[in-house]
Parts: sequence; structure tokens; C-alpha cells
Amino acid sequence: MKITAALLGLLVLVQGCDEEENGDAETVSGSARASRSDLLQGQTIADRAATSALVAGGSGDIQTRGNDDLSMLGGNANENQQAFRERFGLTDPSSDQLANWQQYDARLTEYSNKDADWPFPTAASRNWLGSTWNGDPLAVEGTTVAVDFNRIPRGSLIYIPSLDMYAEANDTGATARWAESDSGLSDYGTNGAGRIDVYNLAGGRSSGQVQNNFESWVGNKEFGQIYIVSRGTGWKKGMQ
Amino acid sequence: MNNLLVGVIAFHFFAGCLFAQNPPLTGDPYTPRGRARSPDGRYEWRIRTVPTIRYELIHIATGNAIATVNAYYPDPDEMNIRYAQATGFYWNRDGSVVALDELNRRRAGYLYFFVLQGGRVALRRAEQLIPIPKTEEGRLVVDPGWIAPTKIRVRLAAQSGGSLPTSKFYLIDFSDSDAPQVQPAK
Repeated sequence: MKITAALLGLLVLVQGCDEEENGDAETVSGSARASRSDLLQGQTIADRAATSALVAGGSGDIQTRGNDDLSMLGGNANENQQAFRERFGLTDPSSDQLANWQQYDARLTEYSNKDADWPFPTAASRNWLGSTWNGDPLAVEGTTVAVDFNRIPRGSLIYIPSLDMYAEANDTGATARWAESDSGLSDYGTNGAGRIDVYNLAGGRSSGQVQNNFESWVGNKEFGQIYIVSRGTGWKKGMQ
Repeated sequence: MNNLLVGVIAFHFFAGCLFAQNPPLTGDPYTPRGRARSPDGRYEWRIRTVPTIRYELIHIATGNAIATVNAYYPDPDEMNIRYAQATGFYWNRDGSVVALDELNRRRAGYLYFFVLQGGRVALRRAEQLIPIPKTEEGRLVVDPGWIAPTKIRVRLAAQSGGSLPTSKFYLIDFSDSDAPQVQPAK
């Protein structure tokens, strides 16, 4: 009897949902995506990137970065950073490069795929590794940061010296609230790039643990400088 | 038979909570929520993308927009359009109040209420009824929706530096549409 009740409930639910979603279908449309599939595919892509990075070798050896190890970002953050550098020919910046890049005040914060208000491993725009099978952009630990697109154009390449990390600005967040709450702080001052919200793959950690880990790791580096190496997505053209 | 009825009701309530949340807890987070068209079929929400992304409440018979509000991310690129298309529209039973709930993507987006009276529309942002402290990154969302003809339950999702995310629930009563009443809820 209980099984019958559950099945009947499921039937009613499915019918109800169809009716709800089809009622005004001409106004809105969504794309099919499955968060678990995205996570698995993201891991696969990251693993692939890591493998090719180790084979290729070359500049930007993660071992030389000492304390700026990105493993705190979870998953394959170090390997992804390494592969990212190799794909786009990025090396530890010289003093000449740093002098030529635009420097801004910024605030380093964190987020992860365990956020209660977005428990998905997806970003707001395409990343350097491409898209998932259904076109859903992935967040990539070790290279994805969320920024205020009013301050840093979508898809820009940035460099975070305190983490020795190149990152792609392919995600965003509650930017109006960032601007409001940080209005008196340096990251939203005249030379501010806004918050740099660094993506973490939580793995077995809760969002609170990710937050604590990140804050312990970054410490007094929370407010510092970042460089915009290239504005917009032009730096990726022909290399995707 | 009673067991059957209880099972159906319980399952329906549980599933309703799961899918009505913002963002949805299962499946595609970009799935549209609610209904764009009013219960009497006279009005409909449409998403415009030129020159910027905005939501327009259209009087279907005349085609006129009787209310307009900009999207949280107004630049008309592919990703922002997808974000806007995931907005939820929640009409109360008699079509006198509609909530427009943008996708809660890490507390981005806004929740608006539109009160329709005599062909005129009054707009309120949810934060006008339930203020969010400036120090918090907070977002009010519909959760799960209208629980009575004039009462809607909402959730304040908040996160401030160094603390875990919190959720608080409120009931907003539009019995007096000029002065909606707010009270804590479970």
C-alpha cells in the first residue's frame, strides 16, 4: 500500500511539474543540465589537463612557487594552474611585465561548489577548458575567479601576486552587494578592481570549512593588489 | 485509503519544497519557476533583451507594458540572458500581487513585488519590507511561494564574513497592499 502511495505521489508530481513548466513556455526557456554530471565531467577535464601538464613540463614549475601552493583550493588546483600556464604561455611574471600590467587594489574572498545558495560547480561564463557536454560553463579550481564585471571585463586574464596565480575572470556573484558593503574599502576605491572571489572545489569539506581554510591561508593578504594582464577574452583567441 | 492519501500529500509537499526553492535543490538550476501569465490570463511577463535585459509586465489585450524592471545583470550577453530566463514569477490566486524572483546565484539577483490595482502597478523591492544589513551579503527569495491568498513565505539567505550562511523565514501579508505586514515564520 505504501509503495502504491509513493508511486501515485510520484505520478502526481511529474504531471504537476509538466503542467507548471509548460504553461508559459513561450516566455522562458532553460537549458538542460545536470549538476552531478557537470561535476564528474569537470573532474575528468581537470584530470586530463593535469596529465598533459605533467607531460609537457616547461616554465611555471609549481614546485618553484613555495608557499604559494594552491592545493588549498582543493581538487586539482595546482595541476590546473600549471596546465593553464602552459596552454597560454604564462610564466612567473618578470619585473618588466609587472611594470607594464595594470595594477589594482583588490580583496581576496572565496567561494565553492558547496555554497548553500549555489551548490553547483558551474561558472557564469565559459572557461579556458571549454564547456561541458551541454554547454554549461564549469568553474575550475586553480584558475577560476568570480569578479565584478563592472570592474573587470568578463573573461579577463588576471594575475594575483600574493597567490602567484593566474586566473580567468569567468564567474561573477552578488556584485551589487559587494560594491555596497565594500564601498568604503580599498577594493572599491578609485583604484579598486573589486572583490576577487576565488573558486574552491570543496571536495569533502563543507562551505564553512572551505571558508576557514581560505581565510587561514590568505591571512593578511586579503587586501592587496592584482594585475589585469589582458582585458576581456582576446588573450584566448585561437588558443581554445 | 487514508494511508494512500497521506502518502500522496506528503510526497507532493516534499517535492514542492524541493523544486520551489531558489536555486532549485535538484536538477537544472536554470529551470524557469512559477508562471509568467497571470491567473486570469490578462497579463504576462516577458523578458526583453534589447538594448538591455529587463522584465516587462504586459497587458496582453493592448500589448502595453504596465511595469518594467531591469535585470540584475542587464548587459545583453548570452550568459546574462540565460540568467534572466531563469527568473521565477509567482502570482497569488486572484492575480493582485506577483513576485518576481530572479535566480539566486550566490545571492545575486533581487526579489520584487508588484501590486496590481485598477490597472495600475505599484513596485516594491523585498528589501524595502525586510531590510538586509549592509555588512551581510544577503538575498531574499521566494520559498516556497504563496501559502494563502495574500500571504507569501520568503527566505533571507545571508552570509557575512567569517560566518556560515544562515536562513531566516518571513511571511509577508499583502491583505493591506498599501502597507504589507511582515512577521517571522518557520
